[in-house]
Amino acid sequence: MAAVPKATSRLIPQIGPRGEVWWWAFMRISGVMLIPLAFGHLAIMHIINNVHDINACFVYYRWNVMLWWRVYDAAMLFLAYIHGLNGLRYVIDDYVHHRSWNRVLKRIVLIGGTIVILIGTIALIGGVRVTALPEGCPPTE
Amino acid sequence: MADPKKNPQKERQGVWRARGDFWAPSAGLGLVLREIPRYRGRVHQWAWVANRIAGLGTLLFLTIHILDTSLVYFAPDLYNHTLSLYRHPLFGIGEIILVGMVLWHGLNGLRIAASDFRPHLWAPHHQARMILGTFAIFLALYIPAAVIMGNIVLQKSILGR
Repeated sequence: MAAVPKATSRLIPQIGPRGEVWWWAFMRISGVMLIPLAFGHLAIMHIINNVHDINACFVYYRWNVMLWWRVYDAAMLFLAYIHGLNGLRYVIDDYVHHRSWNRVLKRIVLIGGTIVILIGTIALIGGVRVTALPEGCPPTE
Repeated sequence: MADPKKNPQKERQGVWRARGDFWAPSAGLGLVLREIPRYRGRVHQWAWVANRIAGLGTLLFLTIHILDTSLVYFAPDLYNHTLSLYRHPLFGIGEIILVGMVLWHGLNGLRIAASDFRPHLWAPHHQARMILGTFAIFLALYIPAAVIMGNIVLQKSILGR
């Protein structure tokens, strides 16, 4: 039998000065939470409904009438996007070894990611303005 | 081997390579891309490669998706216009690929998280079995999803019914 290395080489990161273990924990917790959130989102928005059914009126019902969907979307916005940005940080650390490029790229990711999350948050809080809805939405009594 | 000092052209190439490393933000990336097909990490390696590509692809889509959905508040007319772009068959195919990427990234991530809580599972032979199991679950979920979505693309985006 070929020599199989013992499975002790992969360890949970120790608590270091940069708090890397907290990012490790965050990636696991957000990842597990995103399984129902993201899979549910894909099933509802891409399979049960699809891009042909979705318009501003659809989002109006989702966000302004059924308010809980905003909580769902907010959870996905923060968990998924921060999970993704931190993943991008891992990728940058893996491939970009030039010190200042590494720092510059990570700073761009941080600033750009913050802006995107802020825009998303503002839209989630603002919702759909009723004045902007097309004719017949919501249906008049 | 010729002494590079006696070969000015080679020497200059060396200089350019050094400067190239300085200007290229990802000097390590070319090496990685060259090594990936040569490194025989079997199914373990390909699960990792797929996970990374799926993660990056999902992040790219997520960035676009957060911004386009935000238009519903900032510019509702533009939002409806963006959605009409998404009804193009090419975006439909991209959507099917996206669902595959999210599905694989999620299931594969679950395998990694589960293995971290039972470290003996990191033995390569356990991992090979788990990866194949993950792939089987992935196919069982993805094939029906892709068929349904492909049907929507065909019926609505292409045939316009």
